[in-house]
Amino acid sequence: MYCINCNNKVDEKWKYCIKCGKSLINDNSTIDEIKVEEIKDKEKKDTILYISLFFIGLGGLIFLDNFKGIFFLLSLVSIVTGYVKYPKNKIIKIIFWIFVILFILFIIFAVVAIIACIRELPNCTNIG
Amino acid sequence: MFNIKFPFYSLAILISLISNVIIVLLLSKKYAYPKNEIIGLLLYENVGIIVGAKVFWFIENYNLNHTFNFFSLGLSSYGAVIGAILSIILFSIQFKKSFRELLNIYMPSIPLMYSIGKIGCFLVGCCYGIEYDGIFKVTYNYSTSAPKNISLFPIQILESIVFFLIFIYMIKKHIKNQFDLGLVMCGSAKFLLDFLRFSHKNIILSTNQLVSIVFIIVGVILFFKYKRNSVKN
Repeated sequence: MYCINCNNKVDEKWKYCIKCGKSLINDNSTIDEIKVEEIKDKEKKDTILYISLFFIGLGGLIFLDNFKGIFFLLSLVSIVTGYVKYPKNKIIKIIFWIFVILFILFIIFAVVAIIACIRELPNCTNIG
Repeated sequence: MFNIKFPFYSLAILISLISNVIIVLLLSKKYAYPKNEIIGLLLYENVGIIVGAKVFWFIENYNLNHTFNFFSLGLSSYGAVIGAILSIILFSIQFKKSFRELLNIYMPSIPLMYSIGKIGCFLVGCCYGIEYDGIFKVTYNYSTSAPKNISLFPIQILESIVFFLIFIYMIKKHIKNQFDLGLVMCGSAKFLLDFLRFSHKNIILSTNQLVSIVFIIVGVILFFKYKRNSVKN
C-alpha cells in the first residue's frame, strides 16, 4: 500500500504515514502499487505531450513568420497546464520557470528598447 | 538637457503588472490556494491583459488603423480588464476551478493597475481632460497626444485617486462577492469620470461609458444571483 499524499510505502496496519503524517484511517488515504504505477505512467506521457507542444509552439514562434500569436499561446497553454497538473515534475518546473523569466525579460526589453529608440519598433519617436 | 525620451507610459504599465503579481500572491495566501495554480493563472492573466488591451484598442480605433501590427498598437484599459477576465474564465474551465473564487483573488488588483496606468497617461499626456482654467489645471508643452498650451483638467490624476480608493476599499472589506462589487464600483466610477475627458466633447455616451454600463449591469445581476444562492444555501 502507498500513502496517497506522499507515495511512501505504508503498512496496512499503520494509522499514520511515517513520512508525511497523513492519517491512513480513511479508505481513500492509500492506493495500491498498480495505481501508483498507472499514475506515474500517465504523468510520464503527459509530460512528454506538454513539453512537445511547448517546443512546437516555441519553434513556430522563432522560425515561422505567420501565426506567431497562435504558437505563443500553444507554448503558454501547454507549459502552464503541465505546471498546474504536475508541479513537482522537475523538467516541467524548469521549463516553466525559464518561460516565466523569458516573458518577464521580454516585457522589460520592450520598455528598454523604447528608451533606446530601436528602429525596429515603430512609433518609438512618438513616446514622451 | 539630455534629450532622452523616457517611456513613462510603458514604465507605468510595467509597474502596474508587477503590482498585480504582488497583490495576487499576497491575497492567495489568505485563500490558501496552491502556489502552482496561482502562478499559472498569473501568467494567463498577464498575457490576457496585454492581448486584450491591444485587441480592444484595435477594435476601438479601427477607423484610424486597419493594420493589426501587435507591437505598434496602443492599449485600452477596458480591453485589459476583459482580457484578464477571459483568461481567468479559460483557466477555471480548463482546470475545473471555481470562477468566483479565482475572481475574488484577482479582482482587487485591477483598480490598482488602472490607477498606476493613469499616472503614466498623465505623464505622457494621453486620455487628457476637458479644457479647464481652475485649480490644479495642467498645460502640456511636449506631449504628442494632448493639445499644446491649453489648460486642461487633470482627469488622469483624479481617475488614479478614485481607483486607488476603490482598491483600498476592496482590500479592507474583502467580502465574498468582490467581483460583483468591483464591477459595479469600477464601472460607475469610469462612467462618471468619462464626462470630464476631452474626447467626450460633442458625444452623448463614449465607448468606455457603454462598456461601463455593461459592467454595471453584469455586476448587479451577479450580485443578486449570488445573494439569492446564499439565501437558498
